[in-house]
Amino acid sequence: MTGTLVSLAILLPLGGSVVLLFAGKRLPEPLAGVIATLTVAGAFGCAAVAAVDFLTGAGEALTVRWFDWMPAFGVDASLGWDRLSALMTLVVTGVGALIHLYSIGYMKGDARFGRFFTYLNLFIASMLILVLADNFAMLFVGWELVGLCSYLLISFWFERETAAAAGKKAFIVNRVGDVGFIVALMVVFAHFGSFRFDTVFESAPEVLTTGTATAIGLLLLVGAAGKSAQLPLYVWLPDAMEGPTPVSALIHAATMVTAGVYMVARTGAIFGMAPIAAGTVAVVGAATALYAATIAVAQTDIKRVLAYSTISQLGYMFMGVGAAAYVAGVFHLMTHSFFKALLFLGAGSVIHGMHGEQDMAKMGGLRRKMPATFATMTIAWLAISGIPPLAGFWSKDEILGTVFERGGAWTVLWGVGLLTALLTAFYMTRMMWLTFFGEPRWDDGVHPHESPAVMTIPLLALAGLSVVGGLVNTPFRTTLEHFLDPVFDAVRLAHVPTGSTAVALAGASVIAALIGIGLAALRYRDRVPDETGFAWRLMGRGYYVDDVYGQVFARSGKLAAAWLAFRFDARGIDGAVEGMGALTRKTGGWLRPIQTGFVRTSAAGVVLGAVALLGWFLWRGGL
Amino acid sequence: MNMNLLAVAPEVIVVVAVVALLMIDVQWRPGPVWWAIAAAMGIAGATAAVALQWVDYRGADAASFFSDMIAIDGFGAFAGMVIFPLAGLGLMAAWPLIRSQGGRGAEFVVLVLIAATGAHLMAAAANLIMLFVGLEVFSISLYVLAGFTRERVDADEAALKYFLLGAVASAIFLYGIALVYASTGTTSIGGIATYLRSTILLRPGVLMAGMAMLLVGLAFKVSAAPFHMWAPDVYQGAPGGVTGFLAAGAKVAGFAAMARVLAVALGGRIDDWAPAVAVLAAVSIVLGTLLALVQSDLKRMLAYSSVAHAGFILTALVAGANGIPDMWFYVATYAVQVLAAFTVASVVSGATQGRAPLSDYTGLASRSPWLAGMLGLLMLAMAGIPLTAGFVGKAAVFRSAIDADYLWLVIVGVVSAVAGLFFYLRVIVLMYMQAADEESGHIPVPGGARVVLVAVGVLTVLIGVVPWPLLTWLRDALPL
Amino acid sequence: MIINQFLVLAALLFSIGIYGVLVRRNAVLVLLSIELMLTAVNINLVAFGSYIQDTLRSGQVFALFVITVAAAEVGIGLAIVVLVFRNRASANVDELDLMRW
Repeated sequence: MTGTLVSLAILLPLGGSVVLLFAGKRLPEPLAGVIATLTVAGAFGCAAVAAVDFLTGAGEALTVRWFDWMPAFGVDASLGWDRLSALMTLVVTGVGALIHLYSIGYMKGDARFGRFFTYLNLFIASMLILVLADNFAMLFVGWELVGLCSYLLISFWFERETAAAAGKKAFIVNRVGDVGFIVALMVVFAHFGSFRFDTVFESAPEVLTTGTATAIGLLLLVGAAGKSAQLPLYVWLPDAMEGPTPVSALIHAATMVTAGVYMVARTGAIFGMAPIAAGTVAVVGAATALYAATIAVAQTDIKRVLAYSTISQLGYMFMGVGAAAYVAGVFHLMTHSFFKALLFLGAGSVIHGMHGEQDMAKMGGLRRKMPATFATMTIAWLAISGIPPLAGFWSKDEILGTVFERGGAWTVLWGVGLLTALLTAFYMTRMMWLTFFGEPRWDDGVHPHESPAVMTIPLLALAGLSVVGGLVNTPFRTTLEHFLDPVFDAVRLAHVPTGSTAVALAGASVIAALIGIGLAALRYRDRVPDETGFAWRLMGRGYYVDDVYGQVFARSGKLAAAWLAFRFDARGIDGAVEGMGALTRKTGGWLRPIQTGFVRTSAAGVVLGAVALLGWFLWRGGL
Repeated sequence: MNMNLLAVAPEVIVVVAVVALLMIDVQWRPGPVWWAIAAAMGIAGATAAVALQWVDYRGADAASFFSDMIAIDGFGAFAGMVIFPLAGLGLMAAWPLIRSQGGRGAEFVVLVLIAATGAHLMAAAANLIMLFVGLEVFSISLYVLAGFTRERVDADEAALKYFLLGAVASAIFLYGIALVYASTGTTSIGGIATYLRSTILLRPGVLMAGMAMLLVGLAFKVSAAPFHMWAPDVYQGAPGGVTGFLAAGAKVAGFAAMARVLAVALGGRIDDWAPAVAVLAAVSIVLGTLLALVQSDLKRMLAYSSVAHAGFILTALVAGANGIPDMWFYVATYAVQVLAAFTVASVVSGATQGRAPLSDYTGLASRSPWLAGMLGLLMLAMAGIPLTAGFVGKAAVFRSAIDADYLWLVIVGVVSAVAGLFFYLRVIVLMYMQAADEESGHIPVPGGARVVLVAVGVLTVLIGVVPWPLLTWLRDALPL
Repeated sequence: MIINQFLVLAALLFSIGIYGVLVRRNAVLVLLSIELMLTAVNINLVAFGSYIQDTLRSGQVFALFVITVAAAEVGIGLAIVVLVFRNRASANVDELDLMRW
C-alpha cells in the first residue's frame, strides 16, 4: 500500500509530463497548468499519506522494487522510502505544487505555456527519483535528469542569447562536478561490488580504509559542489536566473540545488569515516557562505541578490552536514526552501508588476502598490535574517550551535557563519528597502500593480510555512530530530549545545542579525547611496571570477573547446559554423593538423602504431 | 570431417538470394521491387538460420564444423542476429540512394548482402583462414560501396583511401597470422588457444610480434586510434545512404573478430595484450573526443565519435573473455544507434551526398520535429545519458574494466564521456535553439528511413530502461 | 631445413612494400607495394608450413587463399584507381585531399 503510494508520487508528475508533451499545444492555456499542478499536488497527497506512519512512529523504512535494472551491478530499479526521503519528497512536492500554481499566473500568455509545464513536471519526477533512489545508480539517473531539466528550463526563453548561454554554462559547470561524482561511484563500485545504499553503508566500516573513504568523500564533494553551487563551481547559479522566475524559485533555490546537501547527508556513513573529507565539506560551505554573502551585498538586480543569497545559504547547509549535524543541515534545507521560494516568488511578483524590470535602482516605494507581496516578503526577509521565532532562525542557529559545540578549529567556522549571518541580514534589508520603501524611482510608463490571486495564494502559503516551519525542531521540541533519528542510526551525529551556551549562541546570532538589519536600515533609509566605488564594483561583478574562468578556460584544454563552441553558437545563426572555424584555429589547431587527409599520412599512422605495438610486445617477450 | 549445414546456412541462404537476385534481374529486369523481395528473403532466411543456431548451440553446446573452420556458438549466432537485421535496416535507409542509381541499384543490394555474410563469417570463424576470408569479403564489398556514386569526387576519394589503407592493414594482419602460425603450428583458433595453454614458449618473440600485427589489423577495422585516420575521411566522403551500414557493420564484425582472436585464441596471453589494448582504448577515447569537438560536419563528427566509441568498447575487452557480454551489449546498441544517426544525415543532407555540414541542421526542429527528435535521442544515447541504451552500455564496459583492475582507464573514459557530451549536445542546441534559414522548408522522410528510425528509437529507449533481458541473454553469447 | 633466408627475404619484401606505401604518390605503385607485402606473407606462410611439417598443410593452403583474395583485391583496387583517374585525370594519392581535418 505504502509502496504503491510512493510509486504513484513519481508516476503522477511523470505521467503529467508525458501527457503534456503530446497534448500540451492543444490544451487551452490554463488547463495545461492546472493538470500539471494537480499531478504534483496529487504526488504530495500520496507522499503525505505514505508518511503518516512515520509521524506516528510506527513506520518502517521500506524498499519499493520496480524491476531488475542492471543485475550485473546489483542494481534494481527500486525506491527507498525512509524518513529522510519522505521529508525530501514532502518538501519537493509541497513547494513544487505551490510553485506550479504560481506559474499558471506568471507564465500567462507565454507562447510555450504547455511546454513549460511539461518540463516543470518532468523536473519534479526527476527530483523524486533522486531523493527516492535506493542505490547510487538511480540517484545518478535522477541527478542527471534534474540537470537536464534545469538546462531546459534555464534556457526556456532561448530567443534571449543570455538565457541560451546561461543554460549551457549551467550544464557545463555541472558536468565538471559530475566527473567527480561519477568517478566516486566507480570507486564505490570497485570496492563494494554494489551500488545499493544499504549494502554500501553497512559494509563501509569493514571495506573502506580511511584513505579510500576520504577519496570517495572528496570526489562526492566535487559532485555536490557542482550541483549545489559551492566554491569554486558556483558560477552557473547566478546566470541561471535567466530562466523564468518560478524556475529560479523551484529549481535554483528550493529543490535541485539542495541535491548536493541531500547526497552528503545520505552518504553520511562514508563521511563519518573520513573526517578530512567531512571537514573539507564544512570549510567549503563556510567559505562559500561568506564569499557569496559579500557578493550579494553589491548586486543591483533583485534576482541576482537572491541567487547569491541562495549560494550563501547552501554554504550553511554544507557547513552543517560537514560538521556531522545532518539533522540541522536537512532542517535548514527545509526551512530555506520555504522562505527562499517565497522570496523568489515575491521577486517574481514584483518583476511581473513592474513589467519585467529587475533593477532595484528603478524600484522603490512598492509597498503601497503591492501590499500582499510586501507583507509576505517581509516575513521571508525576517526569516532569512534569522529573527526568532521565524523558520530561518531555528535552523541556522542549530547549525551554528553544533559547529560551535565541536570546539577547536570549528570555532573559526562558527565565527565565519556568524559574520555571514550579519551580512545576510544586511543585504536582505538593503533589498527590501530598495524595493519596497523610499520614494518611487520607476521608469516612465511603468504602473506597478498587485499580482493576481493565483500568484499571491502560493505566497501566503509559503509565508505561513516560513513562520511555523521552524517550530518542528526547536531546542524545546526536537520533533524533526526525533523523526530523522532512525535514518542516521549508524552515523555519529554532532550534538547541539544545551543550557546557557545555547542561549548565549542564539543571542549572538540574533544580535548579529539585528546589527545587520540596523546598519542597512540606516544606510538605505531615505536615499540610494552611491555604490560605484572600487570595492562595490569588485563585489558587484562577483570578484571578476567569471571573467577569470572565461580567460582560463578559453586558453586550455577540451573544456575550453566546448565552452568556446557554446559561446560561439550563442552568437547567432551563422555563429555555429564561423565559430567552429575560429575554434579550429584557436584550440583544436594543435591536434587537427595530424589529420591531413593524405593517404600517406594515414598509412604512416598505421605503421607508427604498428611499430609502437611491436615494440611493446617484443619488450614483453623479453627481446 | 564433420559437416553441419546449419553452420553455413546463413551464408548459403544469402548467396542463393544474391544469385537469384542477379540472374533474374539480368534476364527480366523486374526492377527495385524484386531487389527488395530478394534481399528481404535472404536476410529473413539468414536471420532465421542464426536464430536456429542460437537456440541449438549457445552457451555450453557450442561446436565447430568443417574441419574446425566454422563454429556454431552463441557468439557467432548473436553476431549474426545483429549483422543481418543491420543489413536489412541499412538497405531500408539506403533505398533512396539505390533508386537513384538506376539499374546499378541491384549491385548495391548485392554488395550489402555479401558484406553481411563476410561480417558474419568473421564472427563465426573458428580458424584464422576463415576469419581472413570473411574479413576480405566484408572489406572488399565496403570499398566498392564507399565509392558507389561513381561520378562524385568525394565518394571515389573515400573509396580509394579506404581501399589502400585497408589493404595495408590486411597485409599487416596476414603477416601477424603467419607469425602466430609459425610459433603455434596451427591456424585454428581453438588450436592456438590449446597450444598456448599447454606450452611454455622459451622464446616468445615471434608470437609476440604476431600478436602485435594481428592487433594492428583488427584495430584498423574498428577504427581505434592511431589506426583511425581513414574513418573520418571515408565516413564523410561515402554517400549518405552507405555510411550507416559501413560504420555499424565494421564495428560489429571488427569487434567480433577481435574478441575471437584476443580473448579466445590469445586468451592465455592476456597479460601481454591487455595493457596494449587498454592504451589503444584510452588513446581512442581521448583523441576521438577531442577531434569530434572541433568538427563542422555531422558525418565527420560522428566518425570521430565512433573512434571514441571504439575506445569504450575496447575498454570491455581488457577484461578478456569476461568482458565479452559487456562488449556485445555496447557493440549491438551502438551499431544500431550509429546506423540511425547516419540515416538522419542521409535524409537531411541527401542520400547520395557525402558531406553533411552542421549548418544543414540549424533549426531542424522546426523543419522536421520528428527527425530532430530522433537525432536528439540518438545524440543523448551516444552521450550515455541515463535511461538510454548508451548509458547502460557505458556502465557495463566500465564495470568490466573495473573487474580487470583498470580503474585508470575507467577514469579516462568517464572524463572523456563527460567532455564528449558537449559535441552531442551541440547538435541538439543547433536543432532546437536556433532558427532555420528562411528558404529551407519541410523535410520529407522516406518510408524506409522512418522504419529504421522508429525501430532504433524504440530499441534504444526500451533497452535503456529495461536492459536486463539483453544483459542476461548475452551471458550465453560466448565464443567456443 | 634452414628457414632463416626465407624469413629474411620475406621481411625485406614486407619492409620494401611498407616503404613503397609510404613514399609512392602514384596509386598504382602503392597498389604494387601492397602486393609486395602480400607476397612476403605468402613466402612466410609456405616457408613456415614446410618448416613445421604441418600435417594439415595450413600454411600452403592459406597461401593459396591469400593469392586468390589478393587477386580480387587488386581487381577492385585497380577499378577504383581508374575511377579516380577518370574523375580527376590523375592518380596521385596526394591530390586526394577533399576530406581532411
